[in-house]
Amino acid sequence: MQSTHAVPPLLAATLLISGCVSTGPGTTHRSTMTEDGRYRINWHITPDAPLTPNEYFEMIVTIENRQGDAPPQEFRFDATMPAHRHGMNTLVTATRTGETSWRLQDVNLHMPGEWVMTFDVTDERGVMHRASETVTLE
Amino acid sequence: MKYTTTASLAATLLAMQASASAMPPPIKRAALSASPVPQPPENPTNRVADDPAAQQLGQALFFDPNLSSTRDVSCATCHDPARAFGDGKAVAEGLQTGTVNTPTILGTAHHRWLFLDGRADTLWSQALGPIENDLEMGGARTDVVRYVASTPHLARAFTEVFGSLPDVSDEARFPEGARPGTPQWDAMTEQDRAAVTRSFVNLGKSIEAYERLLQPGESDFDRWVASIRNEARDDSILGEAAVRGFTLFAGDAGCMRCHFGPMLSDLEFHDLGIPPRDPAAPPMQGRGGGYSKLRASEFRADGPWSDAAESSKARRAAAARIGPEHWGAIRTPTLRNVAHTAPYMHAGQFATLSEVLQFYNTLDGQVRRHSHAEAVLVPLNLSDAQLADLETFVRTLSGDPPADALRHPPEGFGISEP
Repeated sequence: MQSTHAVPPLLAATLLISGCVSTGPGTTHRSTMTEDGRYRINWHITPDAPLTPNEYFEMIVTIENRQGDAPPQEFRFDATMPAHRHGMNTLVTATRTGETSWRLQDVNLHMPGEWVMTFDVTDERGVMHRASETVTLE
Repeated sequence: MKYTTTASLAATLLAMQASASAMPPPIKRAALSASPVPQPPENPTNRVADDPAAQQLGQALFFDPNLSSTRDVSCATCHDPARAFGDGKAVAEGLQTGTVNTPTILGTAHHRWLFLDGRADTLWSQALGPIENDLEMGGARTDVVRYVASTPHLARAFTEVFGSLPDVSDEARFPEGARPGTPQWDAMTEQDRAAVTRSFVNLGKSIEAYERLLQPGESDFDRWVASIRNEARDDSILGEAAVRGFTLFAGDAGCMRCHFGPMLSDLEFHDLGIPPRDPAAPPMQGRGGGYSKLRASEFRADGPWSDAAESSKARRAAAARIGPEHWGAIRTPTLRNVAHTAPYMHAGQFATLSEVLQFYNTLDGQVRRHSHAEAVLVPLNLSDAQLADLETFVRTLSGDPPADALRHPPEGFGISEP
């Protein structure tokens, strides 16, 4: 689907993302691999918008299994600020919307600075696989 | 003389033009992100939040001391329009001496959590708290509703907005001093308690409607940012010292880690380890304790008295995460009008802005009560000149006061000036 959301230059400039490659339209369509390469995590904000500090937003996550057809058993998301030694002030609700897709509500990266997002996928055998992505919000 | 003045002016303009071109892009973006102050976010949990009739009723109630048990303390006693809607005291003084500093309510409708510990999640529920707090107004909802019902101007205004008031004239059914936690309240029927509470809540919603009008006025900082936005940056609006101060504020001093956005606040909670005003007093629980109170409150945004209990705003209390770092954490204050809201910090520990900045500069006296206090808070080690620049900058955040008509009891209600 083609994004029609116009991103103001200033807001776009405030988004500094490191360590990943955009996979779709809009400034926040991202993907990252689990550390063992088994799963690719595709995520974006809905409605499409740049990541901005201290705004509540929702994320859509889809998970590709690169080593088979079995869908994940479970998925969890978290985000922390390592330098601050704290995480989010919200509890993210992850709702499964399909075999390989989740909707995350109440995400709020409430301060500017470096956040590490973690995407934990539990496979069909109950083994957890982790992907992480660092985003720096200005 | 004229030539000298003109030459001097030209030199100044040239200097400013030169400095304008030198503004680092992150500093420019930080300035643009902090101004102007938008209209307050909508509050669907209060269907009269922007109703003019509710605003006028709320304004009358705000200035009316008859809501207190002694009939001499009003909201305006602590939120004095002449003091940027604060009180100039270290800690609030209502019926008794309180424990925390009175925050300004200019811009309060922008906060997502109310009170310094976040124990309310809507402005209407916040407004109800002090009325029944024995340190503040010491009232009881049954008496308050009876007072409104028996005061023609207020009863008429209430009815216009919310419909009829309950008949609470029977003191056997609606005893004096009845509020939750009292034997009088327990003696009332559930139906009567609900009728009183419904009207009491509507009074809070009216007060919110008024308070939403108390926006921070345009400041020199806003005028300066507007000049940047219009590609005609004019540093003479702030002065060179304040421009240097803002560059520090948004840059090396790291103030905008917490003081960002149009309210110069992240609207969240942090434990800075501010030394207590009274070392013998029990430490403040901060957000940790405040959240427990919020969860227990009947006036939550997702509670029975909300007008939109399923809204995204109402979800926030349920979605809040409380961890060890929230124990003792206090809501980040707005820096708008900060020059007029001394003394500072949650218990008025510092008398002046200079003292506040000195604390951040050295962290002398900091009390670390647990390992989760703000890890990025380190001494700034700025020079005296840099601290002076920072102070000069934050003083440019003072805005024009609200319209005169909002700073006094409304006409026609028979309420005297505080």
